[in-house]
Amino acid sequence: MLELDLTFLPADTESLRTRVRQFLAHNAEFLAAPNSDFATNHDAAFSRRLGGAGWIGMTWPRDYGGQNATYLERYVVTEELLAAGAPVGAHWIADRQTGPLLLNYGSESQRTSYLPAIARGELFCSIGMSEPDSGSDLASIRTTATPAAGGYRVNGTKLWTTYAHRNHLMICLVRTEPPAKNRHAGLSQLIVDLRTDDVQVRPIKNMAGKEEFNEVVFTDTFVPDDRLVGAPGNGWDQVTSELAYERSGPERFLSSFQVFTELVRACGPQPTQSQAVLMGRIAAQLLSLRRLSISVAGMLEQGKDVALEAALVKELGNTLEEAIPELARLVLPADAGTPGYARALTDAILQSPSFTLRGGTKEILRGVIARGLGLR
Amino acid sequence: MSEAAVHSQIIETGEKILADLATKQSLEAAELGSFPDGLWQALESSGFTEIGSADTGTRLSDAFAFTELCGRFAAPIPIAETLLVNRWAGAEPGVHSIGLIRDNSVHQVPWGRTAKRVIGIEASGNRAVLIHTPTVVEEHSNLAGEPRDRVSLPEQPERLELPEPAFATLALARAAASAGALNAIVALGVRYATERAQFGRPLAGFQAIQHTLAVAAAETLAATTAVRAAAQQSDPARFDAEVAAARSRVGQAIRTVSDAVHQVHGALGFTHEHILHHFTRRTWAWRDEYGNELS
Repeated sequence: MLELDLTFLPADTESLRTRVRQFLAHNAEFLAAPNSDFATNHDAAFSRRLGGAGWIGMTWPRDYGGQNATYLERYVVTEELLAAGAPVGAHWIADRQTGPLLLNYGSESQRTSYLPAIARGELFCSIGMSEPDSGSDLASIRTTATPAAGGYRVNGTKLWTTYAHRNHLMICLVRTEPPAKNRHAGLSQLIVDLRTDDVQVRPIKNMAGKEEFNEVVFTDTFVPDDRLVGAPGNGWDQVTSELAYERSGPERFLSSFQVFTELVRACGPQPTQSQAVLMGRIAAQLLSLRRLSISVAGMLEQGKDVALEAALVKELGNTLEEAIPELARLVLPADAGTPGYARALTDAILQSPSFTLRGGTKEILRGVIARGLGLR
Repeated sequence: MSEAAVHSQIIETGEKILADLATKQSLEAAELGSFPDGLWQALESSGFTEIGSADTGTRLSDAFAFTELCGRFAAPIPIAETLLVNRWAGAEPGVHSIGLIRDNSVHQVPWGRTAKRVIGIEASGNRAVLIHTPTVVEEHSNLAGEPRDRVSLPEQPERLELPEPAFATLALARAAASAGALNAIVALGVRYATERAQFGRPLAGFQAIQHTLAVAAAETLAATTAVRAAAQQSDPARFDAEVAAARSRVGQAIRTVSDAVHQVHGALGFTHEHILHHFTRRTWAWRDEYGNELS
């Protein structure tokens, strides 16, 4: 029904994989995260070291601080970082989607002033999409940007903005024209400087006890003209192009990966039959998802539209990363494993409600897939 | 011709023959014991029964791809067996088959009654024998109504050295056929959902139905991906593990997909008249042939 051309990682990516593993071994003091969740560990010092190694913005042109690397090479780097539980939260969004957004739509001065700093691991970005009354229904946002001398006045509230209290920039989706019959029209993206622009950032503690996401309030906040991304009114197309990058990577099935590795380690060479069965099932699903995710990276490399394929990876991946801790606890209770296993398991169970929400809910993804099947 | 071109030519030409000749009628006749000669001759005369054999310009991965395609049409023929016997014992015209050696017989031989040659393999994969003009001891069928005969093992059968592990290769062939069938099952679900109306609108208009079929399609893609990755695995050291992963992934998908699409079809899909069961019953039979999700 749905076809996907398989891509295999070229053999020469193995030397890159070795270099990433060596880098991680040299920087082992940073690998304290309980799990492989891309969003839960923000460490500016680690991001600077990674930038120094050339592994942030690596697919971008050299003129903007990149390495001209392929998406398949980027896949290898991101997969190794997540599998090791590296703290990638600071630079993740900037590397994954803000950079490509600015490369595709940004002005030359935006590219030169932001991209090299992102690639060095010194400039971190947040996503400014959701609002108090707009979650899945993104086109209903109410934050407005009205023309003022030399720029815009922004009014409204952004919600669930991860690391707005620690990052430098937010790519903020705003209404530059009132809602019309075409509800996707009149939207634009502005670069907000979270440090110097007049915004209020209020952290919101999540159910796992962490302060990661925020409410960001704009009250007549001035944003200069030169921080408009792309053409005014083109925001919807730009945002949907970002989502393709957002949904297909290994972070969509590896969030609870440490539970699996710690389970395999704790069960040792002679697992019980139920442990072996379950580990085999998880491994089979991980293998297939990895093939899919690599193949989508191959499509990105060829410049193809991956919106549907990315939704499929995220749907399958989120289902798996939610299932891993639930299956693991049945064959090895937290208190029967190593401290590392207990920590990873507890963390994954507490984080798991977020897996099927962030980056597009399960319901939205299934709608995208249904459209791909011709059902709507 | 490049490998990709060979591959797509096999799929395109094969698809036409199967669409024309692997009909509902032929499926029902086969279940009553009559072999689909017309379909077989069409495939044989175009070389489709020798895919993967030496000097044909095709590879083992092409044989898995064609097996998957035949699964998409529930083609009632021992295609994987014939392709593998031709590959392993030299290509000859006719129907050939494979089964498992146990207690001095070869068991579970698809269309043993029609086969010119049968290869018997041991579950451990260490021994393989070639039997010419086999004698059928008992006719059996699996839960999909496909012939699975018992063939007698001659006292001094001809030993055969195989270039790949027999059991894992057959296990992957079943997974490939199942992946093809799963794709057909999802397509049937999508078609029915757009044609059938309830409460004044097509079933496809209901979000519950859309999501049920979206999950089935995602599972099918994951299963198909696992199968094709294993089929293209060129490292023999990794073949067994890839096949096991593919079998496990396909087995998990079969439950979800067949539940979903039977549910969408309602009672109509439970009738003998409807074509759906020819696909779903096959996946339920194939998942237990040459191992299952656990072993």
